[in-house]
Amino acid sequence: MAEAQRRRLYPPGARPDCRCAGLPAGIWILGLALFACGPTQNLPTPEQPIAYDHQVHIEAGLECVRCHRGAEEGVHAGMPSVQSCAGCHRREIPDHPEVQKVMLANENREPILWAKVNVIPDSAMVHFNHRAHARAGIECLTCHGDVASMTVAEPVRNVADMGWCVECHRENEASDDCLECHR
Amino acid sequence: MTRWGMAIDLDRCTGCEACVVACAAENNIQTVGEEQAREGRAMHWLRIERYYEGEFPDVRTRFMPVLCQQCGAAPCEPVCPVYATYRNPEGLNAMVYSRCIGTRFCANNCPYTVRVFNWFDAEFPAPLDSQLNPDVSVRPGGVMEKCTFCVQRIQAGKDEAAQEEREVADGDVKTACQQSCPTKAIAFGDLDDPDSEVSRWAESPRAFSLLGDLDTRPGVVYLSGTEWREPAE
Amino acid sequence: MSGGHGKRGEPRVTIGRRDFFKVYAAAGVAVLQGCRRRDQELIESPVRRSTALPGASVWRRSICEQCGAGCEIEVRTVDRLAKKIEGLPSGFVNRGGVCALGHSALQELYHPDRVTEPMRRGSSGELEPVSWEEALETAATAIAAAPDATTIVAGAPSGPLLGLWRRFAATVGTPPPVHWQPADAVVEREAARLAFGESTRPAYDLARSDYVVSVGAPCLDRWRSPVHLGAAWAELTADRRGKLVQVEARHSLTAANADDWLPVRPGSEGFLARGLAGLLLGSGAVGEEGRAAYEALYPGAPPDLAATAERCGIDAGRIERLAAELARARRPLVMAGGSALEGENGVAAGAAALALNLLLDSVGREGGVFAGVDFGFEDRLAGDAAAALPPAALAERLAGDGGSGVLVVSEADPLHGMPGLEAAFEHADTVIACSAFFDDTALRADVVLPVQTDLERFQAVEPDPVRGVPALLVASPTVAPRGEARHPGDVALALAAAAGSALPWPGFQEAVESALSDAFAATRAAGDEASDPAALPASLIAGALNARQFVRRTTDAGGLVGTEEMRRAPVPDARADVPVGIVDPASLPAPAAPAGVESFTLIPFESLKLADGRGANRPWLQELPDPLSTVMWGSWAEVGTEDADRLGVRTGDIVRLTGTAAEIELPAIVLPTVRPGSVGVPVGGGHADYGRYARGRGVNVNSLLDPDRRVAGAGAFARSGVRVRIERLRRPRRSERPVIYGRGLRQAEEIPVGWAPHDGGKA
Repeated sequence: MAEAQRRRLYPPGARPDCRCAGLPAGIWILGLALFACGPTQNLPTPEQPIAYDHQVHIEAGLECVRCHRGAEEGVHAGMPSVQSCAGCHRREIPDHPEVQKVMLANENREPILWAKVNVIPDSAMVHFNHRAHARAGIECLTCHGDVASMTVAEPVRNVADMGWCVECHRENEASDDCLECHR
Repeated sequence: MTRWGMAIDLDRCTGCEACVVACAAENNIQTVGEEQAREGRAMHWLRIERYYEGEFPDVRTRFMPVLCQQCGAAPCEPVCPVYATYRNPEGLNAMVYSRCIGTRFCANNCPYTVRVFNWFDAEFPAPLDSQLNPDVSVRPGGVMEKCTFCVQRIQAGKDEAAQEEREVADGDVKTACQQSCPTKAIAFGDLDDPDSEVSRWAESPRAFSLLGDLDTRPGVVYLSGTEWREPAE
Repeated sequence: MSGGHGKRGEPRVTIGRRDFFKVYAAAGVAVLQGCRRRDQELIESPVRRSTALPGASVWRRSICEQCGAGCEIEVRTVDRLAKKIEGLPSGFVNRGGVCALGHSALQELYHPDRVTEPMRRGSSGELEPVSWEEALETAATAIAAAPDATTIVAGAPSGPLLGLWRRFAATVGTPPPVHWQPADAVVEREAARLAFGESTRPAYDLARSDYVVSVGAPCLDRWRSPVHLGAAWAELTADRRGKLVQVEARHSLTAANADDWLPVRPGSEGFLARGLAGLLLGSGAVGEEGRAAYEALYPGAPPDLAATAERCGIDAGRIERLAAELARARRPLVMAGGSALEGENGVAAGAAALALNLLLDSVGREGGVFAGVDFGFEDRLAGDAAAALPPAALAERLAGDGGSGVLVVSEADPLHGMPGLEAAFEHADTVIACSAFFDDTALRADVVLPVQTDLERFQAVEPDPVRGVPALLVASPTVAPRGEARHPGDVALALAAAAGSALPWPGFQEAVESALSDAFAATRAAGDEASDPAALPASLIAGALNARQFVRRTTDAGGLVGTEEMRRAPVPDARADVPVGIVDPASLPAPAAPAGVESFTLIPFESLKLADGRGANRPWLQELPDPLSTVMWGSWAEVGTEDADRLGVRTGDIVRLTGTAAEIELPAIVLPTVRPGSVGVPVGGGHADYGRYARGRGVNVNSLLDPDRRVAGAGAFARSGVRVRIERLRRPRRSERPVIYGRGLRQAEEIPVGWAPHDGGKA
């Protein structure tokens, strides 16, 4: 029943079928200690399959919602389709080596798999609603930092820090009921 | 304030179980397989109880859908050591999966036996997982779960209303079981709104609570003709 | 500690707070593996641009083709994947409802064991993937070499797709296709022809009736349209306005919900109908016209009450009461179907039951019986091709050819659904299966052509008659097809082309559109006084300027739906006197039990979950407890309390049922509702493959049936009323125990005590 296996463009080092081996007990204890100390604010910037530069695009006059179409109206902000990237770049610097990767993906009908920058782990079972926050007037900046001045996007806040979420909810008199996010 | 409630008209229920499958489809409920089901570990959030009265050929058959009663005074809540289950401001008996540590005290204390435990991680062999509802978490092994009154549909209804800058109207939120019911035996809505369909049903002289003498004050109302209300001999 | 195992030995993939608690609890035995699946940290740029926002729900209208009811559904899709099926509130048939089987179409679509590429049996004897061209070439060559010896089995419930197969047969030069359909549908059509003179399955107006007698029709189980009829039943019985009386040997879900259940002896349903007629005729409540119409069909004297009670095994008082209530009712209605029509005397029983409507003046009035009318799109696509053959014709054809020849089976599983075909399949030169799964038939096939399931394909459906209003429902695909699966109609067209006898259309959709276009032209030509049978009611084309616009408008609107005014009584086809073939069931001998051994009457039935077997491959349905027996996963035999006591059988015991040619072993479920001397077994279990959830699960009760038994006067196979022996074998081994729904308030079947008036949860 071999369905056409989709080839995908992964960020370096990331393969969905690669699982870490069992960790030695020492690392477990270390992890335990880290967990007790609370979430670290020293957040790593993930490597991306394509070195996309936010600043250049913003300076060229694009707005966030041009590509992240769901940011204001949708539940998820979402990523632009390969087709729409290629649509512009057919005219704009099509020969740039990073753009070439996009054009190739488009030609081969392969999706691009970007590394998530702001990660809420699945184990938290949180269902974040982008448009509800946009409706409340929360700016992109609040959670994502000033992406407009970043090259490759990097996390500035730990979006998985529940205390921070709840604080903001209470300040803005939004519901702090668990079911608001966890379900 | 909203107080979500459900009314089920037993006189309209045929026991066709469309609701049971609708619930599984909506809420990513795992099927545990023949072996585990044999151990009594099937995970339905909603079940159809069947009762027989009398002897052949004068047998009467009764069906009753039983789901979490979303009790106002829930026996499951005070026994949870980690506050993973609590009464939320809108009358739901909330279940927070990411808090649950799987003591199963709540299930033992539920007189309706509607709480189910994930003995294993859910398995949805690809591409069956394509069907999973993105608005509902797939629960890992070791966690209790139960009917949520389709809280994701409640949230979506509120989100939709807010987006359109209006209040949530009666009928905006339909639970999955209610939606699919061929005979329209289920009403859902705000019990605090006297004009809502569910409130009108709850005012019926046929209305009663399941195991009402336990004083759990359920948010689910059953409706039936008088015969149902007589306890069996 | 119980939690925290990964499923079946797999490592957990995330570490949450809960896992840390577990680590503490495990106190040093911390061997959990810590790693995070990288997929969670990835976000995908889709290839194609979409109009929908990412993650947004898009609801698309579709039609459920799991049975012939034609329920209109809405499918929730997110990022192009189907997530949920809900009833379309404005649905022609279903008005927002969906049944359990309908929901599970998603698991058919995304089944991990779907056939998604063409396969051909290679030199090694195994099925191997090939290209469509190669597969079609092989199939078409076989057909073209011996069109006369080709047998087509089309599983399409009705309507345009069946019409296309008929046209295929006529063009390629094969005999007409065998229409694979529920046995009682064939019998019902014949019974209606005898009783009303028109050979269509009647439509019953339950909702507006006030007293419904259902002779065997399991209208709240899996019959005709469970959703529509369920809603109609709710309307009928609302506020105790009307009553449903079920005359059926088995305690079906319909019997369980009926106000009154008459558990007649299997096979005596027709006798009861005649007995009722006798009581009604004697009551003086029957009009002269009704009496004349009825007596024209049944000139003989009906059996008296005592004889009826004796034959049916029912208390005379109950029959008398039923007749009295029928006579008193303002809008009585009698329907027939299910097991009553599946015995050898099914046609006689069905006709006798339906004829009661003549007596009660229930034909063509509110709350009565209407003709099952349609717009005739089956014939429009078929052209002048011959009508399809009934299911039993398959056995006759295979027997006639000595089994050799070519078999084309589209969306049906005759090997599972009919006994005694194995040898014929073994001898067939080439078996071509158009199927989405390796069902029992596809498993034996030489060429397997993968077909699309409901949500992947263009749909054009003429619903089974339930409202008496004609309709053609049309819908576009909801999601992209999986793999290389194609529309079964397109497969037929491609096969015809490859066999050198191309049909005039490139695809099924074009075929339907061209039929719509022709219908428009015929209607326009006929003008106001429509007498041309090819014309549609003029109101349906009003406002359309030309054929193209009409086709466009129809497909955009989701089809053509008639109005209540188009309902009509069945029209006798120039019936001068008694139609040929009518038999008074009272004149037939009672089925005799074989002497010497104690035998039981076997009643195979379609359960809610497995249906005719097609539900068996869906985990949701396998794990769905049957509402009456509460069994999940697998087959069971329903045995009555009294019989069980005598046989020493307890619930769960493994029993052996022995028929004439075969025997099956399965767990018994003892129920207080089973008529003594009968045993009920659901069909649909015991698949050789059909995917991982169905493979080897339960037993196939069809193997017990006698392949040569036919419903007299109809080309249907008689599955009801076979005699079997029951022996208790043993207490079940652990792995054999039936999976019975254990949880619940139920203690020894008692109604739970402690009902209290509802206070609405107020403190």
